[in-house]
Amino acid sequence: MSGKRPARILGAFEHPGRNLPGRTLQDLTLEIAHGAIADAGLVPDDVEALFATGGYGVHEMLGLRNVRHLDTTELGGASYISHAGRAARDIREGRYSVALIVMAGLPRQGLWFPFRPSPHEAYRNAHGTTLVGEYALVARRHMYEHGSTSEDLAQIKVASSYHASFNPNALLPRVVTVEEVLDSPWIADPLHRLDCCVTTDGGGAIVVVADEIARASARSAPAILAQAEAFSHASNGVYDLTRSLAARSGPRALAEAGIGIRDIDYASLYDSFTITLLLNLEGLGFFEPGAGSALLREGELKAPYGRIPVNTDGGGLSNTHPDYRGGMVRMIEAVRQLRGEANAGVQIPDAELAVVHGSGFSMGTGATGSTAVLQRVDE
Amino acid sequence: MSTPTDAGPTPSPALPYPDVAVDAESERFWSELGRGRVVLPWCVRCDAQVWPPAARCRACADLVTGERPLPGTGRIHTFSVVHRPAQGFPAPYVLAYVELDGGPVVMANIVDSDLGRVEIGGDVEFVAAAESVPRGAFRFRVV
Repeated sequence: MSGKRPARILGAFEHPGRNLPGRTLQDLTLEIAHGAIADAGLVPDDVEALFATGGYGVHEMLGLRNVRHLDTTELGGASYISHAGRAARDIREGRYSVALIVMAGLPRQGLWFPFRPSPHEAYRNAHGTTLVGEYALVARRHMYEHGSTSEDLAQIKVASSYHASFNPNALLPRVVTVEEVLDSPWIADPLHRLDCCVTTDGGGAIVVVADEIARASARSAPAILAQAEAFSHASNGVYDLTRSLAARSGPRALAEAGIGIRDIDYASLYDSFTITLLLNLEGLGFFEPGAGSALLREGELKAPYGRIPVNTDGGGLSNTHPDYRGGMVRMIEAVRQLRGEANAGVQIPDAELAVVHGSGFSMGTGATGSTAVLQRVDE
Repeated sequence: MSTPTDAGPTPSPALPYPDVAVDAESERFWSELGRGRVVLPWCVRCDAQVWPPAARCRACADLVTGERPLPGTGRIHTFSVVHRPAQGFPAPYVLAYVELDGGPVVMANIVDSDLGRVEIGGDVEFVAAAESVPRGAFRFRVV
């Protein structure tokens, strides 16, 4: 990478809605994009690069006139973390200075942008697979290999609900107990209903800019120090169900940032299910596989004073998982923590370094993983 | 705890054989499975299965000319009792990965078995459809 300073996240906007009847994808995407552009103190004509999972045509929806780089890479829920990394590298190389990354969806209204099915689809559909069922296969294998328990998973939901109780926009703001998680109905044994993330409308966007633009602004703009990604698939029928792709992308991102996992103040980790978050914690190296039980029981995921504060907005488990995709909101909560703008009660004092990890598609069949490292910049 | 699902027989009625999308590369696999035979395309050069079925080996890009029937035995790699079903499936049912002897790990269902005996590492055998179907599915019972 060139000698220029790292790119920065100057704008971030999470739509406050969770159920939005009567809205269209175009209308919602526009509102979200403008929310992030306004937060950056910029105007739409400043946007030179657009990253969106909606495919070709989102620039038309947004009416953007000065876009000269368009990236519609589809990596499922991890997309936006990879988009941020790609934008950050381009900007650091001087290819353009302002990038908008946007996502939106209305699954509660039956509306979302289309995407390509996997070539493996027939082999899954013949057996009545479901996304929860696939993560249940992962969870049971993890219990077998590493001795994790349903209570360990429930503790993850408990911590998320605690964080959500400080978030006025959270879909599920009520604190739950381990017993409530274990008593909630099976969706796919060993995963209960409360092991699953929420389904919400909404979305979010961020604006990534060159360092000199951030310096000219009064707005706090964390730097994107590094980003790396990894992919898995089931071709030839080989699976490693219990190891998150974070074990591959995480070390590369941390090395590029020049830090270790112990330096991280805040972690924004994909939590489509409780097992997703457990595997991401292990994959990034916060603890060895199967060794997190005591730490989870002792509430160490809870901000502001836990050893590993995770998903302080309540995450996908309790706050929002718009369009079945969690990566953007994970990114935005990391920006809030580094700006000192997290909800009162969960702001980590003096948070400087954050790791964000997204897990797209299905850990039970084939997945995408993307890790970013962000740092507060004191001007 | 929610009601345990680790006792009693795997539920009836029998699971459906969905009309999944089939193309020229996969037609033979599906129809053989529907006739009760597990037959995989085999790359002669790599001496390895091509999974999922494809016209060309993903490792060496040679055209696939061989095939190999498997005994249809294997072991449970992991499983879940699915209570919120996929469309057209009668819940609850057992979704699993099975390690096929001499072949890949495949997504499957465990049927016809006492749920208390469904466990990781347990031996299973292929269960053919009662009558030939256009597209089969990987259904196994605990042995």
